Amino acid sequence: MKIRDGLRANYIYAFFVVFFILLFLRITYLQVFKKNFFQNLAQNQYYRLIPLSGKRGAIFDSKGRILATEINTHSVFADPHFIKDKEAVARLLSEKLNLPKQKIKGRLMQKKRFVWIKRKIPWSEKEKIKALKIKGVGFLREHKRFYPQDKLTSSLLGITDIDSRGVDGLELQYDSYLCGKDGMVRVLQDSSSREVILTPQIITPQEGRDIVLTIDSQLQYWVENFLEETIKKFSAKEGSVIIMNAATGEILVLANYPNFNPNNSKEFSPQLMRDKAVCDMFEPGSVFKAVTLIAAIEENTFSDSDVIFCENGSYKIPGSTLHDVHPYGSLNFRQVFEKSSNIGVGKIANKVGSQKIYTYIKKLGFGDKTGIDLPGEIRGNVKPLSSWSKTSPYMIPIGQEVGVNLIQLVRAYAVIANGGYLTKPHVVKGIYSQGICKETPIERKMVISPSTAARAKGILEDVVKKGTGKLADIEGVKIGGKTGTAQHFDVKLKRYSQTQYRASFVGFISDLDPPIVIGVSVFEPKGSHYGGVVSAPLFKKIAEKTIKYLGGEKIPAVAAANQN
Amino acid sequence: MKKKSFSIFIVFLFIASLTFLHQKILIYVEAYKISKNHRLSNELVDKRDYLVYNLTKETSVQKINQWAEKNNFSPTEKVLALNLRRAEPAKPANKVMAMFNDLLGIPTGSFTALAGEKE
Repeated sequence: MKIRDGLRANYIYAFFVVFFILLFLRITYLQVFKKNFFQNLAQNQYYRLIPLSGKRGAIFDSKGRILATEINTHSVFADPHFIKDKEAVARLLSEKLNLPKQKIKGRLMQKKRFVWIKRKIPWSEKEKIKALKIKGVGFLREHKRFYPQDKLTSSLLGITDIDSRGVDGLELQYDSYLCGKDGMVRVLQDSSSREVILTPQIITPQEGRDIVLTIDSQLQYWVENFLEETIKKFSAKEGSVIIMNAATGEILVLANYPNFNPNNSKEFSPQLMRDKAVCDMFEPGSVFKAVTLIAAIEENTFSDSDVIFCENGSYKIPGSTLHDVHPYGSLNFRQVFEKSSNIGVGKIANKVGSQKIYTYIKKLGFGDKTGIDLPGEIRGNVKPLSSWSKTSPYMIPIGQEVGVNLIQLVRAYAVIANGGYLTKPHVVKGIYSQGICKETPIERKMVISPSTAARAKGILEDVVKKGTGKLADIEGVKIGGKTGTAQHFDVKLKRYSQTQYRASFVGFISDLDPPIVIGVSVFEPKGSHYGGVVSAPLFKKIAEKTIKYLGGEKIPAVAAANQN
Repeated sequence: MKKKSFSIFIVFLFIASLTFLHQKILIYVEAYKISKNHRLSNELVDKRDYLVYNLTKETSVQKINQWAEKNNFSPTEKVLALNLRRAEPAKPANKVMAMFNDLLGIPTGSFTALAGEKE
């Protein structure tokens, strides 16, 4: 009995020994010899790569208000393999996501393991779908560009595409700085497709850099409102306004109307999104007379008291006839600009000489890009001297046969306001990254003497006090500027349109330190088309707000008025 | 004796394997806890972002200005007269705003103080 028991125990013992040896051998075979094969198999099955998008940098205005930022959103995806009742799931998702049922069903019918249902939905919508607990429907976290100020500064900021890449405006211009670098994390996925954070391997995403603009969105708000009012009042087609710090070239306001809401950019045409102040070329009309004014003063061709006979409103020039809106007889040099006499300016330019006029056109930056940090800037159209026709020496000085954009005009007037310096306009103050700021350098060069600038400034101040720009005048404040009314050249008819005009006013507030230049341009106004009637009052409204906002209490007359 | 020590070795090996397995399971339990916390934290971040999104939207320059205009309130611009004429102070539209302005010492004369167009 004892022997039998002992034998049985030995058998069991031997069985377990053999069993464990076999088990050990098998484990050794799987763990050592087949290690790589099974490791790869397991990794493919259990590990998942989750992309971590590098957050795009934010855009702030000069006072730190957010103009563009990234928000977390969720994108809904489905694995059709897990969805049995595709019809019911499509109906449920269609109700919650406000998408056509057939569209969702079509996606669910695809023989793929991953299909997008809807991208970048708000958190509230995500919660509704999550509550449905549909097997095979999941969410991926994504960033979405959000513009809290809606329409404000829209044409300047531009837009991004669905993958947060800049496609227009500043978003495009500074895309390389703004866009972050994507990262990745590898996590374990269990049998229920739940992500388990077990020794995660992370490639850290890099955030994009933040950009601070020179734009002041409070001022921008007022300007956009005033511009809209004027456009509606005169039933105009479009308009633009630029406010620039004459000393530094910092753009404080860049407004276009009509504008668009970048949060719903798909609803608007690309034409509407164009930054008209920088990308549109037009014949400037009388605002361009400032070039002749500067050339005549700098070349010492005329004194203030020199008299020019203005031919009583009609003057034959080679190949054409010059007309004045109001006929004038003899006017002195200052009065020619105050009254904006085409004939007077034509005669002054003729005496200065075409070569010199052309030199000053180029000196003031016309025909060249200003270098503003915005995409799509046009060069304008300044014919080389060799291509000037018989009429050009008279027409170009009065702002015809020449193409400019508003930013070029504002920059040229800044030369008068700041004492002779041609500045480089810019909208970005600095680029911030991890506490380090790269500030935009101020670039400027002297193109005319300070004395010429001072004399031109005085004459342009008289234009506002006594001349065509009266409606831009603010009592007690030194304001200079020039009105412009230009007929639009109809490319189809190959002649100047009798109905399409551009009313402009470009001026400066000399009393502010640093001086501020404001350029206003309204296209196709109805009722009146004169710069002095349409744009000068708009300039005045903007100038009043600007003075109040930027510290007009330093202006002696204003300070005195406030003390009384 | 030999058999006994071998048995002890096997039992020891078994206990060691069991301990190893237990530790491994504990690691997974912790990993699940972390994952759950991570999910919860993400949900809270989403909720916070949603609130920040709404707040930013509701406090945009446009909204603040529209509110200020409606309530005759001047939040940002400096109160400044641009001409020599003294204007009648503008009365806020409602009594609450008037009280608010009085409390903060906000002058209300800026709305009509601008110079008229020069004749």
